[in-house]
Amino acid sequence: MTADVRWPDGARSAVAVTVNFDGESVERTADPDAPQWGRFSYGRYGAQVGVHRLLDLFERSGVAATFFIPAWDAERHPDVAERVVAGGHEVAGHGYHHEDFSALDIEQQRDVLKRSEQGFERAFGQRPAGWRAPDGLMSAETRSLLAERGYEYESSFPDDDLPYVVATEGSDRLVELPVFAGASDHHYYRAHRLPAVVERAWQDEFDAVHRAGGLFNLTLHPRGDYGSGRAVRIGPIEALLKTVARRDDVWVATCREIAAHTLATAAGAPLPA
Amino acid sequence: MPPASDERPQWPDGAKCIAAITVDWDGHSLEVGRDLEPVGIRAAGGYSARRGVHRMLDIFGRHEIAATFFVPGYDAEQHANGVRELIAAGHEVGAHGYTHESGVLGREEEQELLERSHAILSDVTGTPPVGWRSPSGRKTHWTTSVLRRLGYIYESSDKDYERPYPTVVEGEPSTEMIEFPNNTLGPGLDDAPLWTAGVAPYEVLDLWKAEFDAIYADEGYFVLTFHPRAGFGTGTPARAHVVDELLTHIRAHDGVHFTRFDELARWCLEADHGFLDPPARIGGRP
Ligand SMILES: [Zn+2]
Ligand SMILES: [Zn+2]
Repeated sequence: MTADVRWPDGARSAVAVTVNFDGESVERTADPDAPQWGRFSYGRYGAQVGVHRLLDLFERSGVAATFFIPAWDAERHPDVAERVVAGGHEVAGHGYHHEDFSALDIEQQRDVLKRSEQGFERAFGQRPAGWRAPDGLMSAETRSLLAERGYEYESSFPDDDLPYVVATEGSDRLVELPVFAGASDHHYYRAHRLPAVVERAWQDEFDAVHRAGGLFNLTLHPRGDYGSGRAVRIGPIEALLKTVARRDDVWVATCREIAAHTLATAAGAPLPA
Repeated sequence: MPPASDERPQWPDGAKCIAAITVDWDGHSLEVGRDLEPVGIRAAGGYSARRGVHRMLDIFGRHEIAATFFVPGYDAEQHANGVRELIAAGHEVGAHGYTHESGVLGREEEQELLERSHAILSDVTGTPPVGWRSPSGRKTHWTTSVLRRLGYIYESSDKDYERPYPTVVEGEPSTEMIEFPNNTLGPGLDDAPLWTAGVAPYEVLDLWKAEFDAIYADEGYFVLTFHPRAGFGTGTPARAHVVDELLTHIRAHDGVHFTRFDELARWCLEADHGFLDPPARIGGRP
């Protein structure tokens, strides 16, 4: 068992602001034959409208976020890719085309990761250091595969309050950054909850995680349907970021920074994958 | 990305915000189009013609606003007088499929149905419709070319932007047809997903007011879509009251211009109003 990670500078809890850039690849994967119009254009809304709203908000809040981006979407929208990097945010993997990794065998997964990394080289001039499973779906081998390919962290498992080091075959350097539906937007908006309700829910979630000393892994989407891209949905995020900023005992960091800190301070044996 | 405010296109009347109230009639056509008998619980579409539409006409009349009604051809055939009442009250009638066909159809079948609905609405109202909204929000790569050939100047089905932009026709932005994106399945400004999920009328009112307030402060493009039917629609008394209260809320704001889509389309298609020249290529591509 690893000893629990301690946050830097005496912080009581940590916050990662993350964005799953679920763009047009989501609609194309869901129904490859459906023309990308009408009800199949919410991913495009994310790229044309929503992501810019989130970037504007992060800019005025001084937050460095982590964007999990399918490489196909990054290449389709070079203006978005450029603005995300220029804003000082981290970019990390999220499939090539938002694939369901639980439905792929290990060779197929390896191939998708390779194509995603190549897409990142073209779109961002760098490989991703981190990864989050599209829709959180993966197989038992996926984390070993990520470790083998040199990823530093993974963020899909809702199985701990704190980040931990995963022991995979041939590596003990992959960090897991747990993630929870209660700290996401789509969990509420898919159920048609009101922004005011989401605002309250996030405040309660954050307060409780802070008291427990954990990682609040806020998960947002720029989409117009289940995401936070609409003007009315910026309010709850802004309110949460203000609450966080008012406290001097919260460490706000990118996923890569949190993973590096976890690895540097983790004592004891890593958890088996 | 929306441009800085000094580059923004201009709304009519120098308005700060436009408000387009759009009503999708969706009577029995919806069930008939799915080969379901519109009886028992499947009869909710009948509420549109019996009650819902009149309730909306009453509300719009009291607030002195003109709205856009999208009417499936089948419903227009069944309720020709009801549709003519809309025109008589100063509202616009746009096309919305024949029996609310919602799948992706073969090219010929789609064209035939668009033409048939066009002929029915032209006949019933005495004027050819100039706008179309996809039943259930589906379109093919050729839908807009057929509409353009029939003389349509706008279409309102996409969910990908927050102000009007040139409709993509034959793969290219058109200077003769404008896209009015509306937010349907997204849980904002369409009634159906909200009522279906069991959201209560007072919550819907709160949501719609909050949406309006955010849009009023931002892009200034408020498009509400609802249905006068029962079931997933807003025709029944408590739900229609939400529309009434919302209109009161909107009208208490300065600089709001209520518009029919046909009027707004003509405005947006004038090049010097800035809508034909968006800051980036907007809309679908292969
Ligand atoms: Zn995703
Ligand atoms: Zn409809």
